[in-house]
Amino acid sequence: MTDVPWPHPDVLYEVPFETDATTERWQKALDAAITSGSMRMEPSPHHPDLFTLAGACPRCGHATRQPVEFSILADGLRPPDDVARLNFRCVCREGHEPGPPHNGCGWGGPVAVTVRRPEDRHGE
Amino acid sequence: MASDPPSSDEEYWTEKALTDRRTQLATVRAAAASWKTLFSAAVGVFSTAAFAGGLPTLAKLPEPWQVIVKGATLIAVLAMLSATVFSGMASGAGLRVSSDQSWQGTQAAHKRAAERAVQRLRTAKLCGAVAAALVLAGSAVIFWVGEAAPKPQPPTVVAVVDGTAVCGTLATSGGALAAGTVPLTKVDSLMIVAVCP
Repeated sequence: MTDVPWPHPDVLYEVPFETDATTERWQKALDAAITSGSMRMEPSPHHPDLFTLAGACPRCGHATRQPVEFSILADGLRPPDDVARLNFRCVCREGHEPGPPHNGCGWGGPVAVTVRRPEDRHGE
Repeated sequence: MASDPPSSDEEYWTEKALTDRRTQLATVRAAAASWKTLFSAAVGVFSTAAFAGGLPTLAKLPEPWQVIVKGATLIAVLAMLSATVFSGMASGAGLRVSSDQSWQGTQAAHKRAAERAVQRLRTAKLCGAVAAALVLAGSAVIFWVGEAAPKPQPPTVVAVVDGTAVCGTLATSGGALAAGTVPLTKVDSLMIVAVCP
């Protein structure tokens, strides 16, 4: 079930190694999901830098979500405002086989991807 | 494909990334507190230098340097005071009132407070830089321009004119020399003294 086209609800639980290939695959899958609208950046009503990346997991298609924050202040430095880099992980509640109960299908695990700030939501 | 637990590095840095996100306000305030300490130390150094003999020279500078350096000193003091106040405000010397006790509202409030603190810290750094530049420039002027040369003072003389002793500052009167207001004509003797007896 590992090689079925994504998204597929019966994919096995697996955590990818972080490699160029897995990073490229996860990034492309996420970009495609955002482009198609199956995943979206939901803005917070409280602050223009806060979002929730929510929708159908690009791999298993189950509902998942993760907070995304832009312009994190660390040691007085501000990163670029419009791109956030994060370890986006599937946290669906469908209990993918095999193994003990866990949340998510395992991807993207340690793989880091980037998301862009939606055009109409720029920081103050 | 791997299904092992995350490595210790992955766990550590994942936690660190989460901590960085959650402690933005504390991070900025800590940085502001460090800058506030630095500004206070700079004021201390400046005061020490002034007491050590820097400022007394200011009054002896030639014009127009004296006015310029005095003005720069005043602006530098105001800028340093502003730097200290802004860094103090950035380090958390402010309170807010809110009825929003949701985690979302609290998270957003922390982020806004951190952004405000960064703005104040930037202003403090700018003021500190202005003050430092003015102090350095003023010091350079004091060192290189130095004291104004003292104006030559006419000597005081005691003269015997027509058998009468007169004393006064040597001056000119009607094209002739004079001791004070007494013209020095028919001088029998003349002596330079420190003061008139």
